[in-house]
Amino acid sequence: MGQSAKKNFGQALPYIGLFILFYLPVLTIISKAFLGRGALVEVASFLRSAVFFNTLTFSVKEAFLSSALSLILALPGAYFFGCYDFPGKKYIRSALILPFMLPGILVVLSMVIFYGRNGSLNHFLAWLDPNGGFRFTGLYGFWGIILSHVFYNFSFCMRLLGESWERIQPQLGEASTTMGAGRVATFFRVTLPLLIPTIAYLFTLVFLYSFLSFTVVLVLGGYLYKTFEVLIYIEYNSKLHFDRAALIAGVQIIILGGVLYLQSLFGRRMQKQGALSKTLPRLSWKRSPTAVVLSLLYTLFVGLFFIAPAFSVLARSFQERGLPGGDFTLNNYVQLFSEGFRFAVGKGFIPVLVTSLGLSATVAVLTVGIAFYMVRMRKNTPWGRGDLWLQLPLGVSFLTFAFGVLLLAGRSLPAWLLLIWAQFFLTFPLVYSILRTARRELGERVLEAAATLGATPFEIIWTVELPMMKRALQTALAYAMALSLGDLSAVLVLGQGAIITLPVAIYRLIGHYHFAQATALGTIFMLISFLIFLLIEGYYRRRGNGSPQHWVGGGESDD
Amino acid sequence: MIKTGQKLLEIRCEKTYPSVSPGGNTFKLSADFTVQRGEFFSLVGPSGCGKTTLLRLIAGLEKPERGQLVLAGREITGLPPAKRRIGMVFQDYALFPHLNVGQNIAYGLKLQKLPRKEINSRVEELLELFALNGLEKRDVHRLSGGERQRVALARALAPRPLVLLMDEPFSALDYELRRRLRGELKELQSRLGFTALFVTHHQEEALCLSHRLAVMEAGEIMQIGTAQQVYDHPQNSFVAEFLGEANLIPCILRSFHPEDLCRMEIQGGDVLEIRLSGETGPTNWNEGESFYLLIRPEDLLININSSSDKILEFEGEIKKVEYHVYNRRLEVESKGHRLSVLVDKEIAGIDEGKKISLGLDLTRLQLIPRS
Repeated sequence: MGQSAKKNFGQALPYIGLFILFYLPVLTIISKAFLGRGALVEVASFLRSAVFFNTLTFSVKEAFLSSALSLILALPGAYFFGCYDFPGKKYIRSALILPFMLPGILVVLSMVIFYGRNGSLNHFLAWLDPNGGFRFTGLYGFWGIILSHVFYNFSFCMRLLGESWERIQPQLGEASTTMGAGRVATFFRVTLPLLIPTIAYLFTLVFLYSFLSFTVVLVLGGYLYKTFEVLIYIEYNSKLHFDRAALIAGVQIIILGGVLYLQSLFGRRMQKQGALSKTLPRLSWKRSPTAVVLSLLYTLFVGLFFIAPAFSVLARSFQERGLPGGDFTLNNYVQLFSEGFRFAVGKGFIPVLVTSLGLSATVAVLTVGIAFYMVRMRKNTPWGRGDLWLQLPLGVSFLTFAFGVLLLAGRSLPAWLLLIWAQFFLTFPLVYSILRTARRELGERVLEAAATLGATPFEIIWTVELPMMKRALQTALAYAMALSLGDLSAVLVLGQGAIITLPVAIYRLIGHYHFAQATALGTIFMLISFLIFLLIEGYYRRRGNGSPQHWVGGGESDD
Repeated sequence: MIKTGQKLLEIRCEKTYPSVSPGGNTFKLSADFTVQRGEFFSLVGPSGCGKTTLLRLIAGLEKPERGQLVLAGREITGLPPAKRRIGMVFQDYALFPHLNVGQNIAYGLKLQKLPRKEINSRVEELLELFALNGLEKRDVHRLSGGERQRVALARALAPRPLVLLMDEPFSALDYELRRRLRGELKELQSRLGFTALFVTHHQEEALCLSHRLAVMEAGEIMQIGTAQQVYDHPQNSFVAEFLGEANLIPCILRSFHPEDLCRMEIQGGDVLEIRLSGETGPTNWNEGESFYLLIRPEDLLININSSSDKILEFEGEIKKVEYHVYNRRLEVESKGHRLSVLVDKEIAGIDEGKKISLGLDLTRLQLIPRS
């Protein structure tokens, strides 16, 4: 074997390893679903069944409404972000990613605590009108699921749409005005067409997330509402129908193909936009009183309905028995160490915390290490097919992947190893995308400069590459940790009841109606998520105006 | 002053490299020349001619397909960049953004594991030399373009390389700054006596800085010589046109007698009798061969009255007048040829459409083969 052939083989090896580790579980599912004896008859019978029809119509309906409502709610905020400058804008922009970073189970907890029958909203309504009147009772049902999805998604829609708006050069509007167009005509003929790619991209993105929603639908959907994800989990976990679960997963992969294709199409168009460069007029009472009033009303509305739930969890964790209006207490936190907690969750608080942090740290270090190695191999070559293949795990539902891992190696490998395997692929695309972008921004010149100044390859990595990529590595680690920490589906599927992490603990506490302890644990979880968020935002702020767009779809523009 | 005969760098190598334009062809870079100790040598040519590839081969950042590189008597072809003792200033300077000015300059010295005291003293010395005093602790992204360029030079020179490579170090700067820094670099190089290999696509820069320069096109070195040699006696039309403006008039050699009058038939039918000396061109040309007559615009004189047989006079009509900073550029049509002429700004009566009398000093006339 020649020198270059050896080198090529050495470079291909990690790809081959990753492809085997990722695609084998997926292929296992597909072969089980479509290639077994009588499989196609089973598929045909499933496609004709009422379960399939109901699940598909519900999933499409809820995903469509979640996307539409998220965007409608985000649009006014995006307008203020895109057209005005105001105090604290930078910080609010950063904070808008927070709800999206919250693990699904915390979103559910926030919704239950705020919108539940005994939630803060109903207490507030009762305080307004003690003699009956309107009470919100729709959380456990269709609209509760939509509300949760909108809570989860609208803020990052606002952020991305606002940034898109900001990128539209003001000269375009001015040019339109000089040609006789008014403000409304300019909006419909210039601004909106320029925003359409972002809107379409966000719509498909939220559609995809909602279509694949697991935690929210599992907890709030009851017996009536199920996505395919929940259906797979129920078939596997409650009914032990492995073949049927594989069949549903296989059908879902095919349905997703179409949505993913559309999403990548819109994503590519959106990422062709330029930088945020213009100076915006300041939002002031003197100059634009109407805009100020509207922005305040909007902030109040968003604050009440979408920020208050998260704060409710925090507040209720310090109230007696976690009830609204209860006395201040630390008892809910003390109860985390009680037998009651151990009984409901299955393990003590400290082991749960250690398992969660240990697992996420292991996954983060492993993912970042391997991604860094692969990114170094790719150097500053243009974003190509190899990278796209590495991004594909984003396109398969994580529960499906975890289930594939279980089918493939569930009997031969310990649960903790299966979990690391599955979570590695949950975090890899994003981590790879962040490091790949950072490595390309770094370029080859500085490394060549170091070489001409006498640095050996190891010294180049140690003295230039690692210090210059420190912040990207830090961010990648933080994102990987956040994703791993927040994962519920893989732990439920692969943990086999023995591995209990923070989301599983909260899920079980909610299941046992231990809301007081759930709020305390949720608050600790939020604190951890917030610290991770600070780590990420610190990187982006120091880096300039960059936005962690990889979070919501991965990749950057192709060359 | 260069001590002639002291070879420092011998380059004899080949490499295929891709065109700069997307989807373009590949070119074969072929170089064979030497650089002498203390010399300021420039590689000049248009974008994509292979000059940067050649520089990267010398630095060890790319490997040649054939040939060898010898530096100070030692073959360096297979050595990694770190072992070559070659400094390099990159086009975008490639300063380390995570290090400040002082740390950037000290980087190579630290890798040499020199004592801290020695490193500090060398950094001090370079800060002083490059007028960077007071900027030692400054982040590199807070420097001006000129300061960055000086830091990059100081950093590259700090480990005392045997040869300093510079890849278009002025390209990112505005005209005035690059003119000033050019002067500074020239002065510094003669004061310190380091050997420099400089890459540029600016003819003026190469001509005014270099002891010798190589003009490149499509991977090949077209001509090597001093500024005067390559400007006054270009070996082909590419060199003539690349280094300054050139009026190239096609002609055929009808009779050729070395050191005697030769007859040239100029396109359009006129016949010109000139004496071709060794200076004008080689003496082994054959009758019937095609040539270009090279006339530099500044060699065309206007409104002269001379009876000298060394001055050829002819008439023309001014078609265009362009005002430049130091002179005026005319386009004159004469006997079917468009000639570019540079004239002093003070000369009166230069207007478009006017008839003009032009004179050409025949001793300045060059013949270039039309191959």
